[in-house]
Amino acid sequence: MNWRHRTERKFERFSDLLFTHSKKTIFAVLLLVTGFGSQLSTLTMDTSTEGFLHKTDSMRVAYDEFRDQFGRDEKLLVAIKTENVFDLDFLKKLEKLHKKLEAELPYITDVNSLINARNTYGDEESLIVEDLFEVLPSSQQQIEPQKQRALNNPLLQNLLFSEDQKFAALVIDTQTYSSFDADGKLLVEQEEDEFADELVISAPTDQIYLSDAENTVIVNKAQQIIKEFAADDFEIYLTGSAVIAGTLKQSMMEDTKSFITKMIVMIVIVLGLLFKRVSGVLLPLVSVAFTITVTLSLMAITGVPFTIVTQIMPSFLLAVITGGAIHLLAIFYKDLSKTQDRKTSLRYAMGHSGLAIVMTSLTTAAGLWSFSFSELSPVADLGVFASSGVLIGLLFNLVLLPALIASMKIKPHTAKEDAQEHTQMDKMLLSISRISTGYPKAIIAVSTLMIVVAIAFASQLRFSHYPLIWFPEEHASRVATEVVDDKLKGSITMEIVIDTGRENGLYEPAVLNKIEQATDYLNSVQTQDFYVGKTLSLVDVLKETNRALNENKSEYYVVPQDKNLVAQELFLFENSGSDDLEDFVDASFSKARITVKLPYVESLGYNKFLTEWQTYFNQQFDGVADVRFTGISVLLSTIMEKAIHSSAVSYVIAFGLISIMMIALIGNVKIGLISMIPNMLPILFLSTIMVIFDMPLDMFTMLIGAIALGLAVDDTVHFMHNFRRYELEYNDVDKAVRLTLMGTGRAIVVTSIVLSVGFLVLLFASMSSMFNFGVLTASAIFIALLADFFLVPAIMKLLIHNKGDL
Amino acid sequence: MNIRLLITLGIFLGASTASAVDQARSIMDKADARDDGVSMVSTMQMMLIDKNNKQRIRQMRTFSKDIDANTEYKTIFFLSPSDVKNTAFLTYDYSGDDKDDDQWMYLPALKKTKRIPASDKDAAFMGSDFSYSDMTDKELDDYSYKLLGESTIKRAQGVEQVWKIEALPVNQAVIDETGYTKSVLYVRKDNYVLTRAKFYLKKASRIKYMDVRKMEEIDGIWVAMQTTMTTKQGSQTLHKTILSNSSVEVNTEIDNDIFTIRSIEKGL
Repeated sequence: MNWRHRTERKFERFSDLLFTHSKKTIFAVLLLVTGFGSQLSTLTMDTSTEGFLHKTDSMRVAYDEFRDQFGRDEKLLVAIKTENVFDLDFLKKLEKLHKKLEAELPYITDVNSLINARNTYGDEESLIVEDLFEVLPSSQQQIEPQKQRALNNPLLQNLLFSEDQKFAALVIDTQTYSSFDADGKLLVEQEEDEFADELVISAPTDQIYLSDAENTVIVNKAQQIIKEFAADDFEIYLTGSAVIAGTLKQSMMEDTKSFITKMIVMIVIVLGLLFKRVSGVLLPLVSVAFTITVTLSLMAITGVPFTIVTQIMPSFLLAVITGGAIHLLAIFYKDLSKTQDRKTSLRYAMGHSGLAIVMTSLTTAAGLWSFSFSELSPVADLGVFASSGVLIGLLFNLVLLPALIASMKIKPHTAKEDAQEHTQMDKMLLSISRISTGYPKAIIAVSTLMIVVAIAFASQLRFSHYPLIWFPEEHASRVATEVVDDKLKGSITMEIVIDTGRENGLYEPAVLNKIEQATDYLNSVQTQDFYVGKTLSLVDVLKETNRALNENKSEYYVVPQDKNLVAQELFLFENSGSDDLEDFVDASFSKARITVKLPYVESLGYNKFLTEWQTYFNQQFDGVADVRFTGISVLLSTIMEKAIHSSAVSYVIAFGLISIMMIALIGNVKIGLISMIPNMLPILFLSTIMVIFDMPLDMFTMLIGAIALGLAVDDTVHFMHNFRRYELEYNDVDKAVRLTLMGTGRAIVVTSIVLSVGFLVLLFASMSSMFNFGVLTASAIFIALLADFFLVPAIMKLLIHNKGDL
Repeated sequence: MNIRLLITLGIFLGASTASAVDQARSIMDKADARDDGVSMVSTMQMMLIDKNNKQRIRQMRTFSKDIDANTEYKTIFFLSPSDVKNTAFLTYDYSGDDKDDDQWMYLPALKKTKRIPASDKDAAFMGSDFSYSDMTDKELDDYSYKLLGESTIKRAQGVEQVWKIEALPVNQAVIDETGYTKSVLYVRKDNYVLTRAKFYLKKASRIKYMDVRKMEEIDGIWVAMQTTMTTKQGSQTLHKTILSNSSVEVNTEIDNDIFTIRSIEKGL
């Protein structure tokens, strides 16, 4: 007796043990689930972009430093289309909207529009810095001087109004920090601390940044206010990175929620149709529900937040755990109709499938665990907790389900009923076994051809991460972003910090000249679909002040070349009533911020420019200052780059681990490795489908491969486990294949139908990313099924001549 | 509790509120009437501390003089740092009527004096946490006052007994001008000097905390020798300024010539 037989006997004895102590077992499991479940309420959410990076990641550290210094870079951008932005009636309405947004939006720090645009000008004796429309004039003619000043100010165009003067914009800055503490309590200042008699400022204690929930409150309120103002000659578009990210996350969360409900409903229906039993529906669902509860509670207990990536975990566990339960139940029900005795049939089912279920769980867990090495923390969390979830589910499938079966009343179908129900499928499975063992060479030839073609296609797979096109075309955020990118030359920003490392380093004309050259370089970037809309920096403030000090003469719109004059002009500007400097420099004039306005484009195209710019800036400021590129758009593209790298590593690890397990299970290196070939098919075919339908490989589709691999391997494990048993028993490959397909093959079919139907529910998702996710996963399941029913038997037929080959 | 008692209590509370208002106003009247001298000369040091605890020091020599009840002239010469040395300001501060203040700045690097119409007093004074309105006397009638209670402030030099008074601007114009939606003032009982204050900014839920750390009586006039102003947003300190006075002379004779553009261009 080898270890496999011994393990099967142990499973049979375990089954009897559970049958005898079913009540105690159920009680213990309930206790465990309740214990863990009580922690569930402490589960936190983190849907932030920076949450993708580990807290110690240098990009995240740099971003936090940036935010601490200059404030949050994610903004809301309200664009308004009208006939003429300098029309008095329009300006009156704009002022009203401006005031209302300023007064009613929570968690914001600033609203900027034509109304309060900084207007710096001078004459012989004065220098004036004021709001463009401090008070709105009473007639259209009186607007003319301000209009001319606005048109002459290069800073305002494409920022607060469009070139054609048909679009005006309001830019809304939000608070950097959350108004709530970690426990969600509103922060209240402590009176004693306020006047504490210390000279130094205490280091900011772990400030929490503005939360997504707060961001959503701002966006929702803005949407509400905008609605009141919208009119034919006042068409309003709401966008900006705060809005795009906010609505994106909102839509994804909503889609996921409705998806899980629909998926459960579909699985209930399919399970009901297949098993025609209440227990056949209830048992898998109980196992799934308990698994998800315990897994999420584990996240809560370890303080790991639920993220936009880990949100696919519940549906994944639903699929995998249901699959395991089906394998046990299918064998059990089938045997029950023969023996009419629950204990005997349960013993048989556990002995027959127990080891296979353990192995499938282990291989799936290994596939997922490979993600725990990801450089992206939510992906790493997914790796850790989804693999734990699979193992927890294994426990429920093999402990709780037998105990429940023991204490439930399950009426056996008569052998006749059972035979009748299964004739159709049996016929089909029988013909499949005939084809696969009858034409092995043809099948292998066709498969090889398909693999070659698929590899050719897969090599053309394009990486792209462009969340905007996940929205339906008519989605308000997508429309607004496209309009604003087109008319106002950019809806998002990138941030560059030039750090001279010395106090007053930014007074040096040499440094300022370099900044000016660098911004000129950026502004010259104008390709078909990528361009720099505008740059904003200290240099602009300085040139503006210099011109105003020199009677508005345009030849003075330059950086002064005297260090003291720079210092004095900035000092003058500081004293003139504007606090805009704090947006561009730190208090000691050592760090300058350059804000670059950009259109919302696909991450990797953006990356190409980013790399070019980084090279340019590093050369430009070599030996003069340190340069750091940051801001949410840079983070996103970094995340994407890491995602690609990490997932490649994960796939290699997953493949290695699963191969080793296959070899261990089969007990033969050659056959173990060869059986991995069919498991590559789903991934290769997914790549082909993606290339044909022009679906990019983005952060989400990248995860599908691992799920596909995990599920495909399950089928192969079940197949090989049974095939091996029958081959050793009968020493006849044809017979072994036939028996395998008729036995476990049925369970594989059932599982595949249940899972693919479950994932196809995503066809109703509003977000194209979710739609793709559904189609691709369902296709992967289907292809895995075909591979295991045709290709695996064909390979076995050619490879194994007698049982000694195993 | 019966209805009669409730009514009695209500009347009592109403009365107490009314008296809290009257009392507060009378304290503020006395604080306003306090003799703060006709003229002052001092060397002022401004330490600016940013949120990363980086410090910058600016030193200046200031001259100020009350010309009449509503007019104060002020001249400031910058001594250091070197890049702004000899930069000078001249301010004619008109309180009481609607006349806007006049302000000029001399830039030595440009050898030019520019008038800076200071319409907004909420602008930062010399890049510090103090605003122009913090540096000038406030109009009593612009605010309604309420006595919040009494309190004790412990300082190195001893304990100060204070009244805590809430000041609310009477209209939007006052809010727009000062940038404050509300203030809480701590007035010393012994000498009616403002020793602490908390200013609520209309901008972005910021609050400024003013604290007079050192006060000296010079020739019978109470002078704040060291004052801190801290700007916070929530529990986050954004910036802080420590303003210190030295070589202070009070009620000394100052020639009006010093309050001219010619004088700020010439320098000290």
